[in-house]
Amino acid sequence: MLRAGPLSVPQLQERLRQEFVTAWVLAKDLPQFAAAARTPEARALAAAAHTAYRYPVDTQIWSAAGELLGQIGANDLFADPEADWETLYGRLLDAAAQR
Amino acid sequence: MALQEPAVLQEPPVLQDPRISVLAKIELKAHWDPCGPSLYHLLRSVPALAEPKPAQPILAYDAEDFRPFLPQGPVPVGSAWAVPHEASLKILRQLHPGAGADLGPTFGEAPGTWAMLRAAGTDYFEILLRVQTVFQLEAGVVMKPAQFEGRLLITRHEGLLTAFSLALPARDTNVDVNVPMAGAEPDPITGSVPILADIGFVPRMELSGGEFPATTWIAEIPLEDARLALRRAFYPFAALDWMPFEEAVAASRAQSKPLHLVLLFGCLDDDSC
Repeated sequence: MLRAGPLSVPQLQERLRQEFVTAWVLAKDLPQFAAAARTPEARALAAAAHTAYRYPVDTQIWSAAGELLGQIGANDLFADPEADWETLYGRLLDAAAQR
Repeated sequence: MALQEPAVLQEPPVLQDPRISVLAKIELKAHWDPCGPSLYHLLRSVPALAEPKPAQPILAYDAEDFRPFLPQGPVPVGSAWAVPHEASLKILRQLHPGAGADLGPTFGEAPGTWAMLRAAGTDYFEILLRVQTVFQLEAGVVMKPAQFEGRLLITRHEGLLTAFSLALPARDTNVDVNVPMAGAEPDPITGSVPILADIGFVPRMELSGGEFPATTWIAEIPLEDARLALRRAFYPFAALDWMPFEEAVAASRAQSKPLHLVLLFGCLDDDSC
């Protein structure tokens, strides 16, 4: 739902391109990154992202300094079929811009 | 007299015209490994996945089966086109007759087949395929493989089928499975039965035949670039520049940009999640 939803909306894509660095990761791989990533920053972020992870699909926004700025789980994003998920996802990106 | 900028002459792309001879034929062998570990051990509870058995271990195909994978006319190397999906399904049904079941809209799956002329040489053409489909297994079980990557090698001059493979990429995770909950009552409004879901790893699920010889290409697209182009043909989200995790953390710091991180229990860039 996420890939066919907000991640495919041109306006959100443009914001992601301009304002963010984007990545995806398997949650099950994060403990491995936390233990053995090449840099201490990646190890710390992997551990923190894993602790904060909301199963099954989660979006997290992290500052360049490694602070969690916002997150939304797919189950929350799509819980209400009538909800405007495009606006909800945009607000998540706004949260990063305001910090 | 004013100096003029030298004219930049752009070479028109060289068009290639892969064709298949009516004499072409190939025999494909089916390989389907038992599933490996999965998050909830559900895959091993499904007989078709715990002890898979291809519907047809060996099957012969001819030119008519493979002609739909070719472009409609001459194309340059790197050109991609949509393939009639039924052509792929016919071959995948050698693994299981439930390939290509129409489940209606589910979770954003993108069934279909795309192809690219990846390379051309003096002796061969190579076509790269990406096939996405679901399998309706026994007892209402639905399996959603990540994708199947295909490689078709045909001789340039005779149009013969030299080699073909169509395989589930061996990355962990690569299949999603939905199993109807035993003893559960159907929803009184929708009539649908509650399902259990799991995601796991099948080491090898492949149809293959012929031999891929060592060859030199006159023109080719790097394999990773070709894969990305086919991924983008299926998924608009793939147009974003998705970085590997560690690279993204470093780029976020270097560019002073926040990191937008999607975390999943299955891969984002295929149909298994």
